[in-house]
Amino acid sequence: MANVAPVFPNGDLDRPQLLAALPGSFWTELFSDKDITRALLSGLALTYQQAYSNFLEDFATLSRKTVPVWHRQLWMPIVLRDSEMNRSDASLPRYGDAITYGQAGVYYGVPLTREGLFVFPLETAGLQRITAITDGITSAKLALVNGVDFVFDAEAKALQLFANPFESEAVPDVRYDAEGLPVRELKLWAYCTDIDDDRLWRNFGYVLGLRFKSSTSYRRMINAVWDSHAAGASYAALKELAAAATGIPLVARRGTVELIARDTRSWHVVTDDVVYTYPATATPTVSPGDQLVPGDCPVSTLHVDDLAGGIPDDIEFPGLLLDRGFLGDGYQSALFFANKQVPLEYVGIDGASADVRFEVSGLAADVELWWERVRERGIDAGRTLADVLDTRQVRNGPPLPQHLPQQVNPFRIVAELMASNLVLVSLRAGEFGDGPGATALWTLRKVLPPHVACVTLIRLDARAERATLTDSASDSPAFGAGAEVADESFSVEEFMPVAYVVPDI
Amino acid sequence: MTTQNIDLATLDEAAVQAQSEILAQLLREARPTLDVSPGTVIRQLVVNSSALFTELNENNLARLRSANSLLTATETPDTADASVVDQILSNHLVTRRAAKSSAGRVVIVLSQAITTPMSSSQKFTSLDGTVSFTVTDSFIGVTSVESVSSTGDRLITSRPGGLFGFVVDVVADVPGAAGDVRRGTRFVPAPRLAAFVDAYAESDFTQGVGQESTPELLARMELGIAAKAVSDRVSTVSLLQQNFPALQDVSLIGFGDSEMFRDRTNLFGESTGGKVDVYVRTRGTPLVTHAVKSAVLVSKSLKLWRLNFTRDEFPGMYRVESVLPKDSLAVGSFEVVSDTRSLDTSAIPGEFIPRIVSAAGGNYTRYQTAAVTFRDTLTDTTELFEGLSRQDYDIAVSTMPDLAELQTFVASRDRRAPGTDYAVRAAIPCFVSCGLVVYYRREYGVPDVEVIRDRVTDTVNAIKFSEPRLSVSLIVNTVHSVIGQNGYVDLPVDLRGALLLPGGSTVAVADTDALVIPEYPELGVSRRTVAFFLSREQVSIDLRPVTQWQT
Repeated sequence: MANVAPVFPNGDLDRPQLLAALPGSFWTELFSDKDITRALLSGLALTYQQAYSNFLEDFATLSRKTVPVWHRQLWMPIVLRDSEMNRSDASLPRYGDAITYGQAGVYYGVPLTREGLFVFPLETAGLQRITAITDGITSAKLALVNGVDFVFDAEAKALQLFANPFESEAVPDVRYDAEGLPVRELKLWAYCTDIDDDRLWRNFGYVLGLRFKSSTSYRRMINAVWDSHAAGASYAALKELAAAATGIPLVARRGTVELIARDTRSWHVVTDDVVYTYPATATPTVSPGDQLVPGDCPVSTLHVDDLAGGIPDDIEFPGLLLDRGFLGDGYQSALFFANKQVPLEYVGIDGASADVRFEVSGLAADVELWWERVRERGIDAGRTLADVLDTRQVRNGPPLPQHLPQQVNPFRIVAELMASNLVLVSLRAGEFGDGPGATALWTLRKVLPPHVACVTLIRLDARAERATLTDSASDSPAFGAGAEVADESFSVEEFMPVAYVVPDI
Repeated sequence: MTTQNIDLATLDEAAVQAQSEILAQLLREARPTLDVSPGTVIRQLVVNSSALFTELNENNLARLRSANSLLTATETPDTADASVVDQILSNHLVTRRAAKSSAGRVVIVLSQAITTPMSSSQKFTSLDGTVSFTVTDSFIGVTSVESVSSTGDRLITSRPGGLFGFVVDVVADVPGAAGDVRRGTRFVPAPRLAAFVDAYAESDFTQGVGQESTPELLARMELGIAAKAVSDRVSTVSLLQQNFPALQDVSLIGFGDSEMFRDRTNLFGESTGGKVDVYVRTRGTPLVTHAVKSAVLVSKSLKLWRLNFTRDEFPGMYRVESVLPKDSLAVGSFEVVSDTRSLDTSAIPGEFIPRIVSAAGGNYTRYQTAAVTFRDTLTDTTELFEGLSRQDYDIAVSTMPDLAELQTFVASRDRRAPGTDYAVRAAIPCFVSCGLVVYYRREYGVPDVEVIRDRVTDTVNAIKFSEPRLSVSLIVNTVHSVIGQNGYVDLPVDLRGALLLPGGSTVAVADTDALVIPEYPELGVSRRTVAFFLSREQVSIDLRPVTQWQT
């Protein structure tokens, strides 16, 4: 256990009666200020409780498997000033907010006021989360619950309350600022706060040279790389690292899927043993009754194909984008070899050999260079691509079109040669969880043996849009409001294939 | 020990105050009329003292926590406790590399062949006085073979010019790379020897290593936790460094790296994986080894002679640095007119041979062979025969040591993973020269030019693979680490590099800001495979006092 859980009572330190009895009956029965004695003992117990929590955290920090992501502070004083309410930088609109500058009172550099939202700056270093806020430790007139009464935006360092705390029963202090103006202050207590003290980096991440924002995904990445280093490169470490980078869990224990359920934020894949939670944007790929084994990914977010065992017939990889790391020097950009059947073009017979081509995408000059080199190598080796594809049992001269397959799959042709040492990782960006994301995929190089390569495909699922084609200009679709009555409509739901080699470290 | 602290004065006042406030709040809530404001009896005697001791405990817990992390423990290196650092390192199977003294042999030249005894405290100090060496044992120079009865007896032989000489073994008095003097470095003996004429280093001194610094240790921790096996990149490097402690840097080029050209031998010219090139730097600068080698006359009219090197002579050699007549004390070299590399991948019993298909692809591997042709302008070839006449020469060859041993090691059937093909290559060299003008203020004294030179060479030779450039600012910073604020480096710095490409050609790189490695992936040349080498002789420093008008 890393933190003291926010439950009450949490052991003897939370039982005032028991604590009060410790000094003996004189102090609890006869002493006139026995409430002070009790408060004092409770207070000392509370400080010890924090020390105990810290001790547990440090104990857990001994292991990379259990190191806490954040430090937990049981009670932390916070001060809210009415002079800062909705007026500080914490209330400034930010890029990415769903707002339009210049409209509805939204101006650049001007704090934003929203009805029913009361924003205060809270700049405690590393503060990530607050469980509850009260105006007292043992008794409170004001008790606010995270998610119900407030949220804390750690990035903006903004405490956003859903009701004006200065209109609550909590009594503010009044002090006077330098100009003699009264300032109302509410001294409140934040309960069970989580503070990022960079513990993952400071204790384990630095050893590996891996630095990301503290999160459970970051801890998983550390463990995956550490496991690979200590126990040797493995398929499990590679997949775990990719999953951690994308912030989705892999199956930890063997089990049977009992239920698949969705709420507003998540999918839950429930086995007889564990509940695995995924972003709501993901698509489960398992059904109740399916058997899961460790390392499985039961959603569409991540799929890994290790081609060493052969290229699966039903592989869902749109193709290979090969750059000069795979093709050598001389190319300006990468070439794409699609995973689909394409016609084999018979160019003709050049000298004593036939020349054939198939569809390769890329810059025209690069495509031409590639085919030139293929042809030169074939002639030099005495066996051209046409010879390789020749279906005749007995070969007599260069093949003619009828001796060759009509269609080929470019992906399979180029992937077959490298399959023994190639791993394909397919990801759907729209389904990522709280991991560092695609920018962390360079870490895969850390767990790969150098003779093996990993090609990553990141699918950028586009938002479905409805388009209408007007009868007056059927070749120029008009989007959005104001379009004429549709003759037909279609949805655009495409993905952008992005494949690249894990860059160097 | 840094994990202990019972000094209350060092506690963070704000943290103590925060602890105090929690306890005071509880008392206030228990009895709102109770005065717990600062200065009251209960606040001062009970609340504050409790807060103080609580914070003391928290403080010590934090110290304990930081003592488990080398990063945190060394954030203030001046106060970092070496014992704590070593304890943390032990958890990662890393031991601080001990300092080691440089060693070598000194040639003592005498005017007469006389018995020359010297005690085990005999010293030799370089002419500039920067490094001193002590003989490894007591020695005695003897004049006849019959007198040689132990390893301490060294035969005095005749030398050109009517002189005589013998050789003794020495070790640097102070550990560190500063003792790695080059061949020919001259020494002064103390006490002075009878009939003494000269003393100089027989060849480059080696093995001098300073104690490992904390930043170096931090960089090595990842290797410590890794399995010593041919597995992922870190594990493989860890295996190599465990077995070759002198190995300074390793770069593994594999599948998908543009520098990997060995796996593109198929119809499509695409990489297929399974092969790894291991670029190594086994020392700061290439080792220059001196030897006597026989050359064959190849052109009487042009006075050309050829040195043929097998793959086992100077494995992976960079170049022939000099060719001189045998036993000549001259400096310089005959002109090398060509250097042709070939490949010998014939079987070595019990050893896996990597697949290398071109001569250029074999450059700087232990499988390269070389034919080096030079013009001997001194030897009369009139009576000699091309292809038959041979003659011995003194040669100096630069290499990365241990290349063949490293290849044998990774190719061993005990380590090589099935289906993989590892070729060890010496780092592709970029020989750097650096010209500096350093101004200093007279009132603070003249900076030690040798210290500047040592620091600059150490800095450049410590640049790791993958660092994209040798920046002038790095050199300027290094100079300032010696001279402080009492001077400055005049810009531009004259920084030049000669990149010795596989295949034999040389590319010159020069810039006033930084040396950037050009990329020739078809030759395996990139920042991941090239190492900058800077020898002390290639650092010229022009020290000038700041004149009044410059201030």
